[in-house]
Amino acid sequence: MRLVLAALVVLVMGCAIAGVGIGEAPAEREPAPTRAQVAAAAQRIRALGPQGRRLFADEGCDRCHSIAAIDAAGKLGPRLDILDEDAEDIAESIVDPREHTADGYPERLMPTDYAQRMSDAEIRALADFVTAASGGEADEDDDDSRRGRGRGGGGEG
Amino acid sequence: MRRLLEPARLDPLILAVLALAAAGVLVAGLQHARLYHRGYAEVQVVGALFFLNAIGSAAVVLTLILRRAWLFVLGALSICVPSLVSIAISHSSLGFLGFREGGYDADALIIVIAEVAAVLLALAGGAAAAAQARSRA
Repeated sequence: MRLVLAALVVLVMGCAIAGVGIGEAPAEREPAPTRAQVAAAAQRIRALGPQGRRLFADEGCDRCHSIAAIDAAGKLGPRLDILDEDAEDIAESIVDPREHTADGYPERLMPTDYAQRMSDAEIRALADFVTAASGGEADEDDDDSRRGRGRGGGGEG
Repeated sequence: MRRLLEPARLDPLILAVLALAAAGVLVAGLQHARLYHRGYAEVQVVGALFFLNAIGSAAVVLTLILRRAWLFVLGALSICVPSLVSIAISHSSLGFLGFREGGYDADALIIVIAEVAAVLLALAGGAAAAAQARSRA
């Protein structure tokens, strides 16, 4: 009896640890960008300057999101290099992720305190970085939108 | 140390309590393995810890099946308590090893409930087993 029970535990846990029948991360179902798209994104990111990329790493975004151009390989959230959103939409998704959860992804995973942790300028820099990575449109009305939103916790400006 | 490795003769009720604790450890281990393959594998360090949690949980459950009750209680507490603390920290603004989560979804709640139950039942079973051992001595 003990042997059967032990064998059952080893079998069930062995299958789970090997990933048998568990499926894949939702992000793995998304198409990866082409080599040309990655190269173009890398160029746009270089042209943008280091702040957005630094924030992306410092805030732990790369733990959950993929951007091939910077070798970010997170799979818990949607790929960010194939988005079709402008900088304003991305900034709103950072500040209020519950309102913008992509289909098929966990609804409560992304922290909701970025507006308290980061200044408006930092959120804008991060959104511009993601926009550059995805090939979307940067927000040209940067200063106006920053004043208008009025979010942020008074970090670096 | 010898006591940890000796097979324990336990009352059926104590064994049932520890078996329920083992079920909690097993559910939490399965859930960690599932989440590992559903995206956490790519999270630096945290992914590896999920993987180790699943392997450790299997090993701990096996110790109870092999009647090493004390080793099971020690193992269950060694896996579940740090895991619960890590979950709490990752849900705070501090973050756990640079990883932060925004809320408790169903996957996280299953782990929390299973591990809290495992800790409480392992402590209760361990205390009852100790009392039984004292009364027999």
